[in-house]
Amino acid sequence: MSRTELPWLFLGHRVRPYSLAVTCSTSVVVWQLLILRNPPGDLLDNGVPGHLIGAVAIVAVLALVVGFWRDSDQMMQVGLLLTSGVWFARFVYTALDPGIFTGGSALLSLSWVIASVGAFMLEHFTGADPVPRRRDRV
Amino acid sequence: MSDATIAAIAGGILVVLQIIVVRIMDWYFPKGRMSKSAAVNSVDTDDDECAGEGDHEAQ
Repeated sequence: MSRTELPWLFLGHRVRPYSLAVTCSTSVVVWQLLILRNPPGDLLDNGVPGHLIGAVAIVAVLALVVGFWRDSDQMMQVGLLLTSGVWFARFVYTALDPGIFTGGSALLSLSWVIASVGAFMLEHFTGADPVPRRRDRV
Repeated sequence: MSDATIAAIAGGILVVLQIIVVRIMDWYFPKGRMSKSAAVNSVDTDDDECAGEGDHEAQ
């Protein structure tokens, strides 16, 4: 069974390529929703649902970062699970928005949903314990 | 209910659905999950690498 990690270390920790990518992309969602307060479309501008989705996105990013730093499969799974929810919410509000420029954004969000769900399932059903770090550093 | 609220609820529903699917699969296929011993055996089977690693540790 294949692993989800790269065979080398970064800062002494195993790197999961998809988790790294979705951490970056979800950080952009946090930036749009909570800092710029200007996500694609007009639905979530300065609204409670937008803040809620942004808050979940922050938790997801933190879970992924902690999971990377502590080599925790559990935290990685929580992070991936939450990112799938965040991106699905983003897909729905960009798909429902009547603006003509949000259709492509919605499809991109749907792609992230598919990838996050798949990565979560992969981590859950095939994830093995990480190789001991101390041994790798020798 | 606004479209924004629907979007937030939809995200939550997807998360809950995944948890349910995972629980059902764990319950229905308890042996489908890779055991730890099988994972260890499948990861490191290169004898040369093991020998080199042992020499390195000895140094």
